[in-house]
Amino acid sequence: MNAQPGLLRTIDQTGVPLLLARLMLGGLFIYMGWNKVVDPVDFLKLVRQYHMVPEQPPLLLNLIAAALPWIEVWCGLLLIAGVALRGAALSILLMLIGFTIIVSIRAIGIHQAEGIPFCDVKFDCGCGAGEEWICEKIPKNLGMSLLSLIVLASRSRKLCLRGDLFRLGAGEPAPSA
Amino acid sequence: MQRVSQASRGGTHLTGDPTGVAAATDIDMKKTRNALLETVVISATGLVIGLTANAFHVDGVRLARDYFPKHDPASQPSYTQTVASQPAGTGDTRPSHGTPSDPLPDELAKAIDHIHSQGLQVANHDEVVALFQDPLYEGGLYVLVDARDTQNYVSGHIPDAYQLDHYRLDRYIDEVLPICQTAMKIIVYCNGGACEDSGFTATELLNRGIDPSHVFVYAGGMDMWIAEGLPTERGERGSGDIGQGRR
Repeated sequence: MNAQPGLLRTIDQTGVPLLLARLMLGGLFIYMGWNKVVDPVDFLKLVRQYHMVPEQPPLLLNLIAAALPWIEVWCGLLLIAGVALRGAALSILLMLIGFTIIVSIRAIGIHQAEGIPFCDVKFDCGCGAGEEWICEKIPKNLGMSLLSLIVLASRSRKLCLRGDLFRLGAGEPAPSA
Repeated sequence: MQRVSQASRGGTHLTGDPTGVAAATDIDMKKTRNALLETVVISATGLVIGLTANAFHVDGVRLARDYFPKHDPASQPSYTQTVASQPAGTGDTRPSHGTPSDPLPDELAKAIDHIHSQGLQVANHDEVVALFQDPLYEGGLYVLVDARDTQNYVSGHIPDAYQLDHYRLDRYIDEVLPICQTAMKIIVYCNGGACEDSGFTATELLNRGIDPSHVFVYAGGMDMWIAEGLPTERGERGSGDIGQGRR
């Protein structure tokens, strides 16, 4: 019984979807992370506005402002280089889920406080791209989450330096490189 | 093993073969475990990279510093008088560019309440204008402090105001603190309204020993100053590039 791979698997084996997803997602995360890296204090102010991290003691808030943008840049670099793909994609996906939730909560807060339509809510979410309309931000995050899922699901390892950091051991399938 | 490989690569589990299914499941579990392990490794290395880079960043975040200091009103006497009320004022902190019965705009009223709740004194708009026009301002006994960042400051500040961006205190404090120590009145401002930076900067001055009775926060801030068509200075302090009602 020799099953033929499905259409999606065939497309995946070309390595093109993975490469595109890596470049787009990695590029976006480097860009957005770098915008925050250059001025971490500005990012600190934006993080504080969410009131989700206690201000006292200040260490946790400061730690987030100092390290989070670099983790974003780091994940982006790993994706573009093709190193530890699933880990990088999973890290980004987890960040995106968290970001989307807290940005949505803040937008709902603004929508209720100011009595304006939800899609008229526009603010600098600290995402690295300045002020954005909430009804554009959420679909963008969903799009990036979809790219993360493509990287997570892909079995191709074409044009990757080291797609998997750890080997599976005995019985490991050969990567489709 | 061939079946395992097929199952894994082709994604077609051999449902009729329990051994093949079990092996494929095992591989999926290992992949998931490896992805989680990679996530931990990436987060840890990212954290180390971030903290190292931050330590060498000129404007990096100081991990132990409280960037949003709260003035403790209980630690010092509460001052609610205005600039004019020293020594004999009315205590009315509303901006007096309208008639006394004009209600305050909501945002400004909230800002004034917030400043008072921090135990800080409020300077109303007319008082700041009067102070700006007083010869003592030119003489350095009255001081205006701009709490905004450099981009905002150079694009337009109250003429001769000192910049003291408290987030980057090290850059400015050595110059500004001695001036504030000898000043009789210090008015701190930022953009106004919901802007909190003037309050934080005033608190930093108090924490450095400036007499609380000398420090006031201009709640209307730069927005009100510009709206009233008052002069602004572009570029560095003393640049002489003076315009009116512009940012």
